[in-house]
Amino acid sequence: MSDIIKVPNKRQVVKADGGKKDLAQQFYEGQIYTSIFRHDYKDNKRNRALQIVNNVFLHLHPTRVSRHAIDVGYTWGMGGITLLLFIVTAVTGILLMFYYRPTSEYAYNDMKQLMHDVPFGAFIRNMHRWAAHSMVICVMLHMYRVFLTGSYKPPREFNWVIGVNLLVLTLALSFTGYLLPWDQLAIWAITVGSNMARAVPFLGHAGPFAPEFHQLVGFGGAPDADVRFILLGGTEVGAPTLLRFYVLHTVFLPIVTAVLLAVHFWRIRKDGGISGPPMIEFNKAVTDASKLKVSVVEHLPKYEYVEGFKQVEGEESFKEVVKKDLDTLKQKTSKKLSNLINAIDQAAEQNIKGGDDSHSHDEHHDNPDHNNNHNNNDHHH
Amino acid sequence: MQEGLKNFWHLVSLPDNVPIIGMLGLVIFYTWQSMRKATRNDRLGTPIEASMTDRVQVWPYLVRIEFLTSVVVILILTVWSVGIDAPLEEPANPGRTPNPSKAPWYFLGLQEMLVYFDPWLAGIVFPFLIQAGLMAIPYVDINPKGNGYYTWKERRFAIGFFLFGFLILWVFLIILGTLLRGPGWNFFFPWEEWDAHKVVAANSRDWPELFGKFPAKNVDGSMNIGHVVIGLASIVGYYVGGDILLRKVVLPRATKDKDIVKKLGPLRYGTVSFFVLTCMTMPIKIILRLSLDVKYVLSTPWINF
Repeated sequence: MSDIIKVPNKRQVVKADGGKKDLAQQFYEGQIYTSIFRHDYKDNKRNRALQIVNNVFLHLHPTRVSRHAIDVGYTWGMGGITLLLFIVTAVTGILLMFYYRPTSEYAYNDMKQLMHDVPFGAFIRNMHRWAAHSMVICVMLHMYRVFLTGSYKPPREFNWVIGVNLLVLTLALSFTGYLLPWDQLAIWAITVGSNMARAVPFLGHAGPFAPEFHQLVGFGGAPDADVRFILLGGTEVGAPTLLRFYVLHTVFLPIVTAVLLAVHFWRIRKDGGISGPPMIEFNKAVTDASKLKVSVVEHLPKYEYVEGFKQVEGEESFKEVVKKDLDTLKQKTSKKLSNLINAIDQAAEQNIKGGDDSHSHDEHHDNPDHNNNHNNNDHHH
Repeated sequence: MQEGLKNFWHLVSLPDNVPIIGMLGLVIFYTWQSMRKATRNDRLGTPIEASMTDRVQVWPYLVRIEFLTSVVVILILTVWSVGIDAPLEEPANPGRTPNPSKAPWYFLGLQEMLVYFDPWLAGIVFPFLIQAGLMAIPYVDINPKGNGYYTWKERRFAIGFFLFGFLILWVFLIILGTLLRGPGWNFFFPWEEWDAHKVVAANSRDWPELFGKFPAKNVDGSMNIGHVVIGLASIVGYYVGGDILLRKVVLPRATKDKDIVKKLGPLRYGTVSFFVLTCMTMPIKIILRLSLDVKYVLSTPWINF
């Protein structure tokens, strides 16, 4: 195959000489390497796919994506950068937790110590804050891009909804973190921000209809019995607020965010990957074909052996087998169906010419919808 | 003037404001870039993205981009964190209110709304509606075109309205709140000195008072019926008139589809109409305030609009 990078000749020479493998080769084929990566080091399409599928972190990706999906000019990379910034804030945040106590007696002094005495304390805190600000900006820009490319359209509507919730969570994370330094900037920004909660209709003591509602249920119309009181743990921003915001900031909101992030990423995959323009011809053929369901038992194992078959028998005989296969299928089926298969055949052939084979598939284990990757763009009627 | 510019520069270079300036740059750049792509796609007929539909392997072609991006982002963060310290002011003192008191920067657009609307609207109802409206977008936009590529021609109304909301009502108001609002939340030009005692003419006029003697309350403290009638009629009139304008003129023209309202159906169209018209009350109230000094369109003992 054209795209296999040739193994340096040196190794082969060594092999030819005494049948010995060099150190690198011993390592790459040895027990330790294969136990970690579950496949050998050879650069071929199968191993490239396995590199993604066998790695729990990389497995967020499909094994292949359309070319425009890796075009930074299209995606701006903002979603990925947001995830990175979330991880950076999580790591630096945990380091900060070693030095910070969320009580009004200690909080400010701990901050001072962090900034002046703790080795790299200022650096870690700075990085936490700048990553957090950047994360808010990147979420907005991500949303901006998703809107401008119409990527919220079917089948991705619900993932947009999850995204809106993640935006709100990001703002809430940033807002609760804003209080923790316990300096003038923090306490007054949170005072201004949380003062809004007074004005909640019915439930905030300065909100419309709150006195009437208070008379009815005994809650909402008084400064010490409204939503703001629940949020702050008092009638103004004080020690209980600090503890509340700390717990929200370090435990509750990160967990909720992480869970929603997981759903968000999972839905990207399920909804057919990064959005893209309709792939008019190839896509149509595949969409039609996906209406004909095939049983996994018969077809899936065949594909699983395709790569191995190719390796052993060579590309040409593989093509022959496929052709023979399709011919038998065509004979067996009606004319309408055989036209369809012809269309797929042509499209597939074009694809093979393009240096990519259409017969290998992305993932073995969620095969039942592996065609979704192709057909989603045509879903809308 | 000199002092004013100095103060403006101080604001711009505040550690917490540096990212906002960065955001402004990125927003301008991305808007320009995406509009350029959109016009190019519109001119070509088929989107340029459609020429890139062949598939590439994630390892290495995507993973290497992600790796390099991570390296660059962490490098920027490192340099930034070494170069600029996060602010730490004097210890918290509930007894000393700074002037101006500003919310965290991303809420300054909402804080700006407080100038024009009461807190229950600006701080509670509108933020809630913004979220609800954003979540409703995919369910009310039934235009199948423009999915997965940049375009302008195929989605004029959607993109036009979103650009207005995002660029003007969100980003611009954040910049305004950060850089141009001083003591007492008064407006100051970049070259103006911050004067803590700046006196701004109090706006005490309500909308109905432009039509005659219709204050919110009579001299004896009772409600003024004329005020309520005019105020209520204006609000209802705005929504009804705005709705007609939207359905007869704006939507059909922007989408170049005479039957767009029929295609949307009553539920979808009603949602669009409500959110669009409510969103437009913000710029309308700004204009009413700046030109006619109007405080409320309708003021009652319970709620003010």
